[in-house]
Amino acid sequence: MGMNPDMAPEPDDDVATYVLDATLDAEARAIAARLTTDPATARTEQRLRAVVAEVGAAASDVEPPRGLRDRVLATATARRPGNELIPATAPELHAIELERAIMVLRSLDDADWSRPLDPPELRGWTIHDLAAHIASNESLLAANLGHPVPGVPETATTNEERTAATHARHRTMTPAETVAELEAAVAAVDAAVRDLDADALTQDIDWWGLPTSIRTSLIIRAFETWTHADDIRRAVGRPHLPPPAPSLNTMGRAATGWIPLMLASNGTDLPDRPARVNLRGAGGASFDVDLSIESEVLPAGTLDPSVEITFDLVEFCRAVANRVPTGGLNFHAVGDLELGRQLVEAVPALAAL
Amino acid sequence: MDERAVGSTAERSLAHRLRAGDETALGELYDQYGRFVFGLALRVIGDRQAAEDVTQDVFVSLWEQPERFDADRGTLRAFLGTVTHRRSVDLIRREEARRKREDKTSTDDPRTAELQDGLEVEYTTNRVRDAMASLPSAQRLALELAYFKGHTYRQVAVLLGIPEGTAKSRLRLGLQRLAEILQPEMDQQWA
Repeated sequence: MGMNPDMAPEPDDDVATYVLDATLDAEARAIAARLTTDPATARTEQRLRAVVAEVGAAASDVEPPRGLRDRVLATATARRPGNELIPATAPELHAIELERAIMVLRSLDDADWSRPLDPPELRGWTIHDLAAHIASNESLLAANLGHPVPGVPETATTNEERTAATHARHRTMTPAETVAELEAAVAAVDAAVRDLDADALTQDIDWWGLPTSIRTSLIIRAFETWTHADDIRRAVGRPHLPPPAPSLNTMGRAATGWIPLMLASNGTDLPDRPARVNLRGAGGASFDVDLSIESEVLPAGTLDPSVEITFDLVEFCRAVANRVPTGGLNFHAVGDLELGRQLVEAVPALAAL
Repeated sequence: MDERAVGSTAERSLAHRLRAGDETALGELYDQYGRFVFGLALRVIGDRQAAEDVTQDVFVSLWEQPERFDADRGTLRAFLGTVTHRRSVDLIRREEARRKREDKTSTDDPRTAELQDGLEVEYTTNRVRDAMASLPSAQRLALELAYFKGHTYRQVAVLLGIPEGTAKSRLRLGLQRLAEILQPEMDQQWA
């Protein structure tokens, strides 16, 4: 007569009860000790803990009481004061934004992939077209970093030609195949930049025909990918989801540094006319920048600004990406108001190039 | 799939920021997992004030000792779920012990009523709901009694009228089956 499988004891019985906090205290101590010396059991424990958390999360989605968040943060920082925010490095920023975009793509139903997008420059594109575009630009960056992605045939280095060829090819592919190609491109870029130090990140590579530092190329890709991920969220009726504070800080600093270029693209060069830019909200900071084309971003207080202008950081970044309607960027200016107006009007200029 | 549950690179970055004392990281952690932590504590304990206390304790303790989370050993969700469940179970077992001390003549376990009333666990995602529904009902009930009600395997055995060894086997078989069903997609999410 066979034994009922319910009755057959196995070594993993103890691990299962331990993961569920269903052991007796003395047994729990013995199992905890075993985990430190038995890697196979430790792997089983990790695997089962992930499963238990998945089940627990599916049965425990409850809005906490209003005010609990503030109490948690206040109590925590009273016991261990916080430090200054640490800006994301360009490779971190790039990896996180691409990963967030992949997460939104994976969360879509197949029917969502044929939904249209609303930005004027993407008229006639579906979400699938945009995902292919993101994958294509990422594979171009990988190739320019010396890590071409196997299986990606496009060689065009002008935006229009490359996008047209990519769209044609991806229209015969499934959403999962497009995501897989994007993931391969992200992995290739990450492999190329993960271990680069600050000096190495200043090396120039080709980016759409212009010599551009690796650092700036990664930031531009992160900016573009965040913008397009929000385009996708909007197309399926979801709210925008801004990057984490350290990423926003890095993008805000970079975008402040692009202001002279924005003005130049409008035909304006303003040497010896410094501006102070205050970026408010999570990841916010203040910077000084001279409005000449040769300038660099400096800590606030370094220059004597002709104008001081304050933006919401997320809104400023979205305006840089040309995702805020003309005249819709809120700001507060002090000092040379005409200079402030010129600066604000120039903000979307880079995206329109 | 929950879009907020960003993958390993973001988790490593968040853990790095917690260790560095970045207060915004703690806020983001709460925003991502506050509903889960509070919801799990509430489900196990059944008392909102106590669930608030556990929630605060879980986040504050990670802030005070951020090195306790090791991204190489699992996800933040698994880590927070483990800590939340452990603290919730400790709390209800202390309460049980206190009640027994105060009323030594009582032999009734007030929580046996839950077997008659049913556990009524509702799962908000289809894949977990389907996975739980695919389990033999005896395994599912044992798992829900242990995890969501905080019972030991010994209490599960008493409640279900089965030997302790059978209770442990049912918990193991149920979890292994869930792992077979849920793990492939989890691996994909967190690869």
